[in-house]
Formats: sequence, C-alpha cells, structure tokens
Amino acid sequence: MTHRVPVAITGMGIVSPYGVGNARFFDGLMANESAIQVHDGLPIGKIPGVSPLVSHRFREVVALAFDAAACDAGLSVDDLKEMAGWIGTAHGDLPRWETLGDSSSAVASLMALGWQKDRMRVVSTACTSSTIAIGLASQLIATQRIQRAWVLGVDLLSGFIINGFQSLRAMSPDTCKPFDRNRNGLILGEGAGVLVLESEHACQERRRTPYAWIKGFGNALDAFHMTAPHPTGKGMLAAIGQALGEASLTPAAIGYINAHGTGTRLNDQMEYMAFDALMRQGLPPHTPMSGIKWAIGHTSGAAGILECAVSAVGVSGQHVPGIPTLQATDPGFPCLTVPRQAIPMTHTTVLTVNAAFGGSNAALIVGRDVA
Amino acid sequence: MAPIVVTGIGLLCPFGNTVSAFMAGIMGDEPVFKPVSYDHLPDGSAGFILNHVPRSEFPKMKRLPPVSQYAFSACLDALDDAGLAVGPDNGHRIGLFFGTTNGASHATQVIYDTLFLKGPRLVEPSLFQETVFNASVAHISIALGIKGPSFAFPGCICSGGYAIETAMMYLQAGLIDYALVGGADEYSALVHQSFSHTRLLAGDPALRSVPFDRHRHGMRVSEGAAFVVLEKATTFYTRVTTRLPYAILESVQTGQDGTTTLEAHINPKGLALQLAHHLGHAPAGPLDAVVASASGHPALDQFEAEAVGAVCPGVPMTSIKGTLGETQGASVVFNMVVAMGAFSTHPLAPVYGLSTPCHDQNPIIDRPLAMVFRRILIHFCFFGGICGSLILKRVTEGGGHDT
Repeated sequence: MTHRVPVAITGMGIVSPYGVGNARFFDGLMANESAIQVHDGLPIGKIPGVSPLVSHRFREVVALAFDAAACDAGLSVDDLKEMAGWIGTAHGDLPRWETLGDSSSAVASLMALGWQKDRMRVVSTACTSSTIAIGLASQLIATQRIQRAWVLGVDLLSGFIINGFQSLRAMSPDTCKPFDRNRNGLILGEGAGVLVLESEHACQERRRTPYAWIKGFGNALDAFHMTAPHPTGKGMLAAIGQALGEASLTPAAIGYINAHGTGTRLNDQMEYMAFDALMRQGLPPHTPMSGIKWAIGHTSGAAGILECAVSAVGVSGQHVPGIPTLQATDPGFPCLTVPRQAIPMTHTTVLTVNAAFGGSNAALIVGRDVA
Repeated sequence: MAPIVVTGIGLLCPFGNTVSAFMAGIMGDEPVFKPVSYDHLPDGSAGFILNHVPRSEFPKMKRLPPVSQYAFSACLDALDDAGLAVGPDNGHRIGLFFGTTNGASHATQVIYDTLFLKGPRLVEPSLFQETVFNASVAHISIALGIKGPSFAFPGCICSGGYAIETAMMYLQAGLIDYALVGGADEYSALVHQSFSHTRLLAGDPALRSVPFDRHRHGMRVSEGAAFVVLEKATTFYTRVTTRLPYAILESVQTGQDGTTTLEAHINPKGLALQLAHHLGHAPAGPLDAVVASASGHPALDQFEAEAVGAVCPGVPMTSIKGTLGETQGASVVFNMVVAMGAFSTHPLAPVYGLSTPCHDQNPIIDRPLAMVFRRILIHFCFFGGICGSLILKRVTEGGGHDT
C-alpha cells in the first residue's frame, strides 16, 4: 500500500438542519439536540433560515457554506475561487429542476458556480460522494499536484428523494436509532459543507494551525447488490484497510469511529460486521463509535463531508457526538461501544466511513498530528 | 514511471455496436440522426443506438435502464478486447471510472410521471436506485465481481476526461492494476428537454449542425457508450505477447475557465490557458492532429477553434460530431478511439459537411487525412467553463513510442 503525505483541514463551513454556520452545527450536536422536525407528517432534517424559493435555495446554501469556510480558514472567497475544487453530491440542484423544470440546474450546473478559476470536478456516487471528493482532492495535494483545494458536499431534499426512499421502505416514521435493537429506518436530511484542504507547506506558509490531517483514504465496492450492503461488511472493511494502509497505521491506532449509521437494519448490521472484523485485526475493544444521522438526518451526498468535519473537530481535542436516540443496542452487536452523549475525544486518530447505493464504500483516516 | 497504455476498446453508437462499424460510420457521409418528437417539446433529431443485444450470459442486463445496458455491453467488449478476465484474484485491483451527463434520465422521468400522475405510493423502488449516477458502474461491479475503487463523474461532455484523469492517477500510484474507463448516455424526453431548454440544439433537421461551419446552428445529441481498458505497459506486456497496445496515454489535464453556466468566457482565454498549461507540462514534441469537441454550437465551436488555434497553430483539426452527434459522457472516449484508429490503419476522418470553416485552424475537410500520426491531442470543453485535453501517442513495434 502506498503511504501518502497527510493533508491539512484548515477551514470548514457548514449549513445544516441546525442552521447556518459551524457554531450552530457543533453546539447543537454536542448538546445532544436533534435538528429533526416534522414537515407534512414526515420527520426530516431541513435547513432553516434560508430562502424558501427553490430557484434560490441551492445556490444560497452553497454560498453560505463557502462564506463560512473562507472565514474559518482565514481566507477570502476570492482565495477559494483560485483553488482547485471538488464537489460531492448525489443529486445536485434537483429541487430546482423538479419545481421549475430548469434542467440547466441539474448536477452539471454545479460545474459553473460562476467564479471558479481552477479545475473543478463533480463526483456523484450517491452517499459516498463527498467522502470520495475529499479523498480525491487530498490525493492531489498529497502528490503535490496542487497545494490547496476546497471540497463541497451538498444535497437538498426534494419530493423525488423523499418519495424515492419511501418507495424503498427505508424510512423511519419517527426517529433514527442507529445500532438500536428497534431501529426502523433512516431519516432524510439536507446540508452543505465545505472543507479547505492544504498541504503542510501551504499551512506553514500561512502559519495556519489545522483542525486535523487527512492521512488516508479508501474506496472499494461490495460487488453485491444495488441497495443492500454486503452482509459481511467486506467492502467496507476493504475501504478501511486501504485508508489505514495509506496512513501507515493499524486498526490499533483508531480512537473513535464515525459510522455511516443510517439506522436501517441492513446498513447497521453491515457496519457492525466490518467493525467486528476490525476488532479482530486489532481495533481496541470499547473503541467508541457514533454518528450524526440521528441528529440531522441522512444528507445523502453531503453526509461524508459533514461527518469528516465532525471527525476533524473531535480529533483536534474537542468532543465527538453520542447517539442519544440509541435506547438499547442491538444484542447482535455485543462489541459496540456507543456513547449516548457527546464525549471528550482524547485519541489522535479517527476513522470515518460511508456506504452508498451500488455497493460503494469509502473511508477516511483523520489524525490530530501530521506525523 | 511505466507508461499507461490503452489495451481494450468497447463501444456502442448509432453507427453500430462495434469499433469497425464506428470507424466506418465516421468516415462515411450518412449522419445517424432520426427525427424525434416529444409532447410539449420542440421537434428535433437525435442519434440512437440500434440493435443492441444484451449479452446472453447476463440475462438480468435486459431489465436495466438503457444507459446501464449500454455501459455494461461496452465495458464487457472492452474487457474481451483486452483479453482481461475478472476473477477473485484481481477483482479488487480493478477500478471503474465512469462519466455520464444525465445518467438514467428515462428512469428519472418515469418516477416523476408516476409521482405527479399516479401518486407517490406507486413509485417503483427498482427505478429509484437507478437514478444515482454510479448505478451503471455498480451493475458492472455486481455482475463481474469488481471490488476496486469506483467513481462517477457527471461533467457533461468532459465527464470522460475526468474519468481518464482519475484512472491515470490511480494507475500511476499503483492503487490498481487495471482501469475500466468509459462513459455512456441515453436519449430521452428529459435529455431532449434539457438541451432544447438551454437552446443548444439545431432543432430543425433542416438546420446545419456542422462543427466549425460558419453557418452552424447548434448540436445534435446521440446516445453512445464507450469504454477503454487502461493499464501500465509493464502489466500489459506481462500478460499479452501477441499484440501491441492501441496507444500510450501520455498525459491528461482538466481545467475551468471561470464562467457561468450557459456561457463560455467572452474570449477563449480560459480554454487556451488550460491547453497551454497542459502542453507546457507534457513531454515536448509536435502534435500531428487535434480531435476536437466541436459539435456545431455557434459559440462553443468558435471558442474551441480560437483556443486551439492560439496554442497549436496549424495543427490539423477534426471533429466527428457532424455524423455521430454529441454523445456527451462517452464523447471523450469516442474521440480517443478516433485517434487510436489513426495510429493504426485508418486515416483521420474529416469534418462531415464542413465547407465554410469559421476559423483557419487547418480543419480536415473534404477527405480524410492520411499520414503517420505519432501524437494526437483530444480536446474537450463545454459550457460552465469546463475543459480539458489528453494526449495519445502511437505505440511502435517493440512496444515503445515515437519520440
């Protein structure tokens, strides 16, 4: 496995069902407060405080995320415009297309945010979209092809998405309870996140202390089923193995796992199998694992970037979230340690994982220290 | 670093579903377009894949949306052509890199029709899963047992370029041994609406859709699927001793020119900058030809011609989209096949129907260009400022390449 150079996360901007801005996101999450609300009889995670007009919503959300990320990174939006960019999204500005019939605002319209000066690419692999976008951007920096990049992960709710998931009977009518014995499906959400990534050299040039470092990335297929994950978790385990290999780490180094944790019976079972196998490979027993989908819903292509942000902030010496909706862990998951509340993060290495339709699995290793 | 080579080709297009049918079609004088008419939409014409027969050993393929069927068949043909079998010992070392503009647009449309006309309870779950852009490569992986990394890039005409670029990075880094790289797009009312709405089409069949022509009126869109197998030359020569690779993938670079969705930069500066940057970092050497992205759009063709003319003055340039149409996600790979054909026995196709060029960038007109081609550039660009280029080199006897 090829070792690679760590890549710094130096800024982030988040727009979530908690509202606009990083503080609202992290304060709400760490206070164990759910941002899920019932709309038209359906519990979903909807972004408040932005335009209700579908013609404006997507671009406003994206612009707010960029503004927040630039400010957080100590840069200007113009600085971001000069960087290479990666976008991870499952459906792009589908709500606009759905309502206005403006097909120019399908995924491909993301290619023109109107100001990008350097290369920009869109990755769309359903729920692993922004994780893979982070992985690809960080690989370009790690191989010194570029010094800096931004990564955007974004997806908004629409009738198409909601009804599509309902047709799959994948949605919970009440609460998302990852790893719970009575878990009954996912809750949908929407969100946007921007991460600013830089090389160590670029960080030093700006005298910037990063949140954390992306040390490894893995991407592997289940080759099993379009919507059901491989029951043994082999694909997820393969992605994790690749990420650990790039980071030159073993499972013993992992101090926390940010799980995909959708709350569906099959996904959570698959993740348990993968984590159980990881424990047999040396993952310390009682390694805490949790997620954020109980709080904001499953944000599709944006999930990866929001969860990476949580991992980065956690590993920088702060807290990682618990899962307060978990009432009784599935007895089939005896080795899982899932905190019910936010806990202080004392370890230096975090694993964050995502899985998607089509058997796509992606993993990132996020570390506190560059070495 | 071992060069990356193209070792297998598979494609489906309106000319036919083989490489030979494709090469004959782009040399001919029979455009593929048929009239299309959809309710509440302007009439037009488009190219359709015909006579597609799913492989009998994969009976479930018949139930997939057209884009996935096409991608699957093209990928299988590329694997067969490369002499590469997927098995438990190499499935995890094969990556899938896919470009598409609209994915399973027909399935998306059916879902919406059901939602609005019949109600959400009747939405087919088996259709919803097809609407993610990585569905096509997922089906390939499930059927063949491919477990390496996978990517889907919805980047319009440049989708294939992004796929090629990422595949090359993964191969050079040693993360995979083989890359299945391609693109596919189907035609549907949704696609027709998209292109009509954004006024990109030469809708009326009587209007000229001739790349680079002074009197061009817009593009015509076609279905298409094209895949190539990429691997390191050292890998190929270890497993195949009876033939040479089709070409060396020398370099690829993508870029952006900083504009809005439905415009290109008011001058082609961005395209020229990207191309100059690519050539400035690529190995030195003359280019023998350019296979362009031009599809008959008034603005795009002009900008591309000016950009290429500024950076590669005098290099013969062609486009096959006058006969084939704009195949969107598959177009970059189709253009690679054109170049690889020129490296072997085929001359380079002229721009069909071009009589009054809008530029003096040495367009190939009237008759094919026959010469020894050593190095060909494939250029791609679209609205939104997305652009890129890749360079293919001919493989010589002995497995090297002409310098």
